[in-house]
Amino acid sequence: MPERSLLSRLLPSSRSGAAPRFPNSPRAGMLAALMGAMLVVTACTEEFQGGAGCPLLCPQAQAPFVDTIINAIDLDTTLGPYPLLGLTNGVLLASRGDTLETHVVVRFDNLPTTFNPNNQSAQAPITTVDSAMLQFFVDTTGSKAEGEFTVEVFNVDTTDADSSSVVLRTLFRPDRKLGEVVIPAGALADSLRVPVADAFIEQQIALAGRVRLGVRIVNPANVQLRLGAFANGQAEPQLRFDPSTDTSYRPLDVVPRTAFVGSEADDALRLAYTVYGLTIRGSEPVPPGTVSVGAWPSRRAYFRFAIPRAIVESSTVVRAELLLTQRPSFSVDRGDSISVQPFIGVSTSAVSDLYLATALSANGLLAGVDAARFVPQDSGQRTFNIVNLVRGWSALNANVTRFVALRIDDEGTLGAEIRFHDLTAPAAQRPRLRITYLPRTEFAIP
Amino acid sequence: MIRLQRHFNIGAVVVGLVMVLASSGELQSQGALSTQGFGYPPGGLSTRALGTAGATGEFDLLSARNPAAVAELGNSIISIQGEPEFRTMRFGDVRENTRVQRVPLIAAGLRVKRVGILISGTTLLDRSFSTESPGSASIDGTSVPTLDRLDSRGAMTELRLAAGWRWKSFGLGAAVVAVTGEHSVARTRVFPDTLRFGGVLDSTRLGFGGIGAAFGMNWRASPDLLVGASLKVGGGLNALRNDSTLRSASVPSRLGAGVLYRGFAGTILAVNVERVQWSAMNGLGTEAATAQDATNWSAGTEFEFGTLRRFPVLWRLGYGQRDLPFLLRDLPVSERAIHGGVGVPVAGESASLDLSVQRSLRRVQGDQVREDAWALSAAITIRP
Repeated sequence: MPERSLLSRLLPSSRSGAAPRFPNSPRAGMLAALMGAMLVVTACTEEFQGGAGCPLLCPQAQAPFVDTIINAIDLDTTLGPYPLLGLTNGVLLASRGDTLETHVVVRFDNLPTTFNPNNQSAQAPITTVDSAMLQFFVDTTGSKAEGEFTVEVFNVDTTDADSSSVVLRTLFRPDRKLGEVVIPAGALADSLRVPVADAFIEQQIALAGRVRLGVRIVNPANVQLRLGAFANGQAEPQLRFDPSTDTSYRPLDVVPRTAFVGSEADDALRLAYTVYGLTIRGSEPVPPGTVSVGAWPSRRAYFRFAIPRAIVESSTVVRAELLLTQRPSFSVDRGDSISVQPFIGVSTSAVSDLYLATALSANGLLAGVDAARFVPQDSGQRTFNIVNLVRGWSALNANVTRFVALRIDDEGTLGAEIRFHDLTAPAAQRPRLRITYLPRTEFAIP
Repeated sequence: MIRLQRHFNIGAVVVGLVMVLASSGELQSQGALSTQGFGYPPGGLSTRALGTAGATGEFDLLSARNPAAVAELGNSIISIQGEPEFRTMRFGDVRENTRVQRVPLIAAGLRVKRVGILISGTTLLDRSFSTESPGSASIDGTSVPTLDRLDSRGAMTELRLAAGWRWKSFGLGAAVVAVTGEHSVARTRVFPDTLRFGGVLDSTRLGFGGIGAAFGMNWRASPDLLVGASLKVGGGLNALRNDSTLRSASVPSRLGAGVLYRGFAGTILAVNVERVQWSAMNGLGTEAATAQDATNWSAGTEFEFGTLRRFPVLWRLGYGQRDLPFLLRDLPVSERAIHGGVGVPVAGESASLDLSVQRSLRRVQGDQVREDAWALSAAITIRP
């Protein structure tokens, strides 16, 4: 068929080859209309959505998922103690019978020696102390008190090695007692005020000395108080007293401070010994075959993963669960529901110290690993959904350590302990990874 | 004045036809019989040849069939073609509509002395579809529902450099053919419980590379009778990923013949038959993409009715039947289609607009699945 219209060649006008002459405007209009029609035709939107006829009409069957449980944890251990001394927002003052007993030490190494009488600018020396009191902020959500209990305050200042818990424990004796308060049953509020001997404070001010106070709850009692502790924070303890017997004066508040040889250039060290807990009776050691979370002093469980690269890098993981088998714990608060928070490794293998690597870890929420709640006395299989974490590992540098660490919420102010079987347990009880993945297959070829 | 009015009437008809067909995206469409294997073969026909169901394909210089037809090329030519298709698939009580948009032909050519040369790109197989269907995954021994989606976009394209020349009452032609193109495929599986399960999203690309050659001849047996035949010989065809060859097969060969008679005033009649060796592609895909050889035939006519600016408006009708290349689970899929079209001179003989409409009925043995389609083709051809 000729390129030019076969039929047009049959027409005289076309055969002549002379172009017909027409007014320009109608011709242009017709051309525009036809071009518009062309545009309309070619501008149709596409709608590919199909599939109602599947599987009959779908050209390819979906590859099956692989659903398996693998021993993907090559190292588990219990790390502790946590947190670092003095670096918490709270501190636990507890007397929980034969399971947990802690004392609290607060240092006021800088005492004021003057005050402003009548709120004038002129300063006057403090010669008298009245109504001296050690006061704490109490976090009632983490506190428990069954019945009446007594809180005692002692002078724990000593020239001996006062950072030694062995030494400090001996200082909680009657001849060093400075005061006490009895809290009736049900009277626990959001603050705790313990009277301190005025004469002792007055004497220390007169000597330009320091006050280091130890606080304990007297046995027999089943009490724990979560006290505000972090120095420089709003909830820090305070030593409050009137610098005069005239009660019209506003009391002076002294905040905890400490200084000792070796701490001059080390803020963390000073903070550690400004307000801190003293363990009198802590949790029992981790029994064999166990990884432990929580307890007192608190511990963290560490699980390092070694998932076959074929799964992480050449498959799409759709489910990944860390399977742990809980075993009963006889810790304090063993019947309570305890929140356990996962943390994930972000440091490289250059950080070989597991304690440090755990301290450098990131909150699991960043990888979609949610906290879970456990009751210490329970047992059975528990799971942590780590699918987003495992999926993210394929994009991580190979030398980033793949681990999950578990810690309890309110670490440092809670004595509950969760226990899990470790890698030495029988196969069905050891930490494992339940994983479902879709191996990467060729699917572009029909 | 009367002539001018008549011109506008014809233009209005054309525009109206286009508008109606374009808006039929709101109508029903789409199935998946035509998207089996490596996809649907538009046929390599120009809009003009499509108007006759491909009956004039052996004599149409723009269609990627007989290179001898290129001998009829004037000074130069440029053409581009758009082809939306609206499909309806029925399977039991299921009815599904989809729309696809193709640009199945782009061509440019010129005459160098007595030789016409045409370079063109045509869609060999169009594999653009999306399927979304409920699935399941066995997890912990229980069946967990999933929503599975497969998206494929792309096509195999046939690039063709053809040359044709006249020798006495013969037109002779030869062409080299390169098959190229790419499929971009994405696979998605999502679970309703997105907290517990992550989804699957894999995507990949599949390229193609192949070669072939075509030869053709037209013979003017009498002033009103043309006979044409062509042969395409397929060479190797590879499925590629980057620089790796995944699978190999052959470009399908084709043997076609046609007769065109123009003994009636203002009318031509044509028939065409061809055999396409689609089975040469077996091995390029999995067993799910088994191809069968196809015997296709068509008959059509082109006739003059009315004029636009003293040039005739050409109307076309045709009927064709062909086998689609890829089986549906060992069952052949056939296509019957009625075609119609119109060719309108836009600027004398310097530019023309061709439109065609095609109603296709695609069936699989037993009519378990039916796919009906409206396809509209529009082409602008300019002869600078």
